[in-house]
Amino acid sequence: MRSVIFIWLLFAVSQARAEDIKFSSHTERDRYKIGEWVQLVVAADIPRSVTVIAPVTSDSIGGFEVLNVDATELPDGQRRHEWNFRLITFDTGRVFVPPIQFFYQTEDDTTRKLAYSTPVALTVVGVDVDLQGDIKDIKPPLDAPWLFEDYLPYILLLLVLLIVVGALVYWRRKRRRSIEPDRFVRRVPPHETALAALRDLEDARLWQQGKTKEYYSRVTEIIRVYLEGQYGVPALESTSDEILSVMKNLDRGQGVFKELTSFLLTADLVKFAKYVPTLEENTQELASAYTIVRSTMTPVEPERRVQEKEDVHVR
Amino acid sequence: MDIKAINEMIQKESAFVDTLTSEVGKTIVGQKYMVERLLIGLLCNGHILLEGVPGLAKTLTIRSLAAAIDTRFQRIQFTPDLLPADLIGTLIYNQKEGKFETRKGPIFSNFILADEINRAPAKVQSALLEAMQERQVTIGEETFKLSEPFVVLATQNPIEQEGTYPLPEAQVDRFMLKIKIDYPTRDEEILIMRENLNGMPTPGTPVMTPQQILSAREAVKNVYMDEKIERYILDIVFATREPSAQKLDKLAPMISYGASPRASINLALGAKAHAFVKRRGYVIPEDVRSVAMDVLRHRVAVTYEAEAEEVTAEHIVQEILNHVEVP
Repeated sequence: MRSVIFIWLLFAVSQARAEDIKFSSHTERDRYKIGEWVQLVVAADIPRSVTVIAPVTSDSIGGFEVLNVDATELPDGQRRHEWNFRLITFDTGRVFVPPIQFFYQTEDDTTRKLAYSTPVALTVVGVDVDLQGDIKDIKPPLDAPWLFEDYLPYILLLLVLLIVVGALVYWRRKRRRSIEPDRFVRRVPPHETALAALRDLEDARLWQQGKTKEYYSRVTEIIRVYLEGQYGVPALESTSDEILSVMKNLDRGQGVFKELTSFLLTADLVKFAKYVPTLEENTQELASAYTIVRSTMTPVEPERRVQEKEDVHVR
Repeated sequence: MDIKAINEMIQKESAFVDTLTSEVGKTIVGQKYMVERLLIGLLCNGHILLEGVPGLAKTLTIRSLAAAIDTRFQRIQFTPDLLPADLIGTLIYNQKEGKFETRKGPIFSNFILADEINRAPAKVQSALLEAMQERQVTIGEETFKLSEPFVVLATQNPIEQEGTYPLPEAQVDRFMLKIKIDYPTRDEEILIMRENLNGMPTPGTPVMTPQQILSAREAVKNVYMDEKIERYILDIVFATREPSAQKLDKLAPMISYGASPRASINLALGAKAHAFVKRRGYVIPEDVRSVAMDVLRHRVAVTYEAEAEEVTAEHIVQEILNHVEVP
């Protein structure tokens, strides 16, 4: 009762200060359910010479939460203005929408004047509960509606991933296709290459033409390349001593080590010490090279050889 | 000269090598690598930078070598307050005769051990390095030639680098070899321990004369080096400057600058001396490989990138040696 008197007093004051313009408020009805939207309309007839400053509304008015404020101007000679407030409250009982502040100015006066809308009394009732009925469980949350926009980023991401994976697979297949032919290229065993090179060297008849140094350089290079291919020893980048120290451990009782030592030593003398070898030494150097290759080569199995030939033929 | 004659001459001239090493070996257990490198430096008229932790018998080895060659030896401990005059000598006023007299410094010797060279300031280092290069010293207005053989062996302690004056690259380049001395093996160390318990080892007796060293130097110059070996040396040195040319692209961003032409000269000289020590009248790739690390490790500067990856000049040189094709 006390609050009703207070509201009416406030209204009386506001009426006294805003003599010219009246801001009247009303709702559709005076009884609402808890949580139901309350459509409050504040209307005023405003002469053209008056400018109303839009009401400053916060999140709440009294015990009501403000959901939305909308102003409309009706086509009327008197410039009728309406402000629609969408309110909501969760209190039950007799509640009041308090007066809302409005400022306005007249054309011939810069002073801001204050006016209040009329308060509105409402009755908010709770939800009807059937006390005799069974106790029911709380309802689960409602499912959100399926919206395509919500899933669009995920769909796009999936598409990009599929494109990337597809491109990778395509690139790998293409690469494999370009590599695959090499896989079937028959790997020539190092001894075959070495023996062929030695035969070529023999045919070149270098030492017979006086190119002794070149002859020794080539014969040692053939053997170094062979050792590299056969044993994986970096013979081309190793000195004679280094090759011998590695080969000493690799010599599998074929007695090649002694042959190799003599072969490299003679070649070093010719290559680096201006040593002039005899004719026998020249022929012996090549013979030693053949011996080194033949006694250390790994024989190729006949079946594998046939298969390899077939591969070559097919290609 | 015919290769046969060269070989015979080298065989004759290098006969002292075994005697000398066995004489030094009477006092020094192990350190054969150091003795061999000292001999190479001596034969090439080059100076040597030694690096190794204290207590590895650096001084005793050099003292023993000096004693075995019957030459004078001086050890100079480099300190931050050392002055150039303390090293090369100065003029002293003789009151009795009323004139200035020259007092020669410890540099007037045959074997100089400049201990912890990086402890002395730049002006002292500069004075020493100038004497090393010019092989003469000027005191006042008088110039004195240093007696031959003159070899400087400078040590750098790899630890305790605070408050030191590291040698600038230009000065380090003047050392023909930079050798790293490692700890002795267990067997060697037990012998060292036993010998020292019986009393301090003393340098041996002279087994050769300085004149023989000078004569051996001439013989070293006559050791035959084939063009293939020369090209091999250049391949190695050029790979420090242009690693990409040797298909060593990965080394390119790690090398700040490569070895100088002085490196090529010293590598060729060192290879010849190594062949001489091995009593051969011609150089083989083995000789080049043997001295390459000692000639190049202080002449290749690494970048910050290499330092960040803990790649040293030694790693780079080793990689180059492993990749350059041997003739």
